[in-house]
Amino acid sequence: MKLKTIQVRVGEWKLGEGAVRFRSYGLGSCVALVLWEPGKKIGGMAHILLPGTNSQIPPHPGAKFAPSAVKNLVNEMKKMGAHPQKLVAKLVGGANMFPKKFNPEQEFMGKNIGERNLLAVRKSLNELKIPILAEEVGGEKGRTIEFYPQTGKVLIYKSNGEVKEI
Amino acid sequence: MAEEFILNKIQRDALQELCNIGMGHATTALARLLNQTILFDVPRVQRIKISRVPAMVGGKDEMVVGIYMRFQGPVQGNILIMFPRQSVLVLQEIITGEKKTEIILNEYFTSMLKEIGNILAGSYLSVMETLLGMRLIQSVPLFAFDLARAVIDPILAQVGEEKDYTLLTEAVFHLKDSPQLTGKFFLIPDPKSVRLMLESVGLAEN
Repeated sequence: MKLKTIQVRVGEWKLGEGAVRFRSYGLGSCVALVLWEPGKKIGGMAHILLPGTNSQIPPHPGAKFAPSAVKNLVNEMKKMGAHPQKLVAKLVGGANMFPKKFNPEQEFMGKNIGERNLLAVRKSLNELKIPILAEEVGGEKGRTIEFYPQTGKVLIYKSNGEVKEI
Repeated sequence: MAEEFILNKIQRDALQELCNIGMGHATTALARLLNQTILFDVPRVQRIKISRVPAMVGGKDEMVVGIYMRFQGPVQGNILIMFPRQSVLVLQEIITGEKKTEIILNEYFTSMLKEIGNILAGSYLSVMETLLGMRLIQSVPLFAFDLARAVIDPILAQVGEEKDYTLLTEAVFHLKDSPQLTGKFFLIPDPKSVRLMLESVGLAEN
């Protein structure tokens, strides 16, 4: 059966249920947040660009910033009938695109944007007590991700040819 | 949220001309380094939604070498130069003198690619300095080899905090005698610099 594909671009979140497939191409330092309600097979995916933990940042309707992305996705999934206490999360992405081995002269600049994105998403999920079932994060390779809300399966295609399932 | 900027036709044309002259200088410098004639297409200047940028910079599975530099001064922003896999193989042959079917990213070759980025960006920025009448400082180049759409992520993070739209200028260049060597030169100013950049070319709105 040919599944309908829902593409999630950077800074966007999308919803779907049952026999659909979510896809985001080329996650670098961005983080893909997958939320799933196993009972009703409702899924949501957000393609997060920035930690957005600075309190001066106003709420954003999209998924550009971690805190508002998590909030928006949870709220919209509730509207679709998802039970908030049954939501589970998977995280993918947050890589460092300029590896140390290629950039040895680069001075230590603190946590890179990928790491900061991951910390911010985990914090927001933790505040809402949403468990993180699995992660395929960090490292120095870009990733393309697919998420199937029918089964909760997440497939990751890394830029070095590796394929992983979480 | 800060107001999104607009870009009218006159501003677009002026920026395109600036890119044109910048690319002229940049490709001349690279031509001297590689001892090859380099041509470039008419640069494209656009105001684009950040969510649409990754698909603009590369195909869904496209692997590239990316060389990223920040520039700072009264106008600040980002320069990203991308060479698709096939072009990296051609560059490898020109630089090492050996024809191989695989890209070997050793220290020598990556430094050479970074230097190419340095030279392209430096010559381009010197044109901007003259035309905009300001001093600009260029950072050390950062090197990536990955999916084009993933390499652009940290730059989008750099420009995406304040606005949902960005100014993107793009120029494609290629070797005259070896059309399979192509590269893309992107200049993405920081959002707070867009207005000053337009003012400096004499064309700010209002």
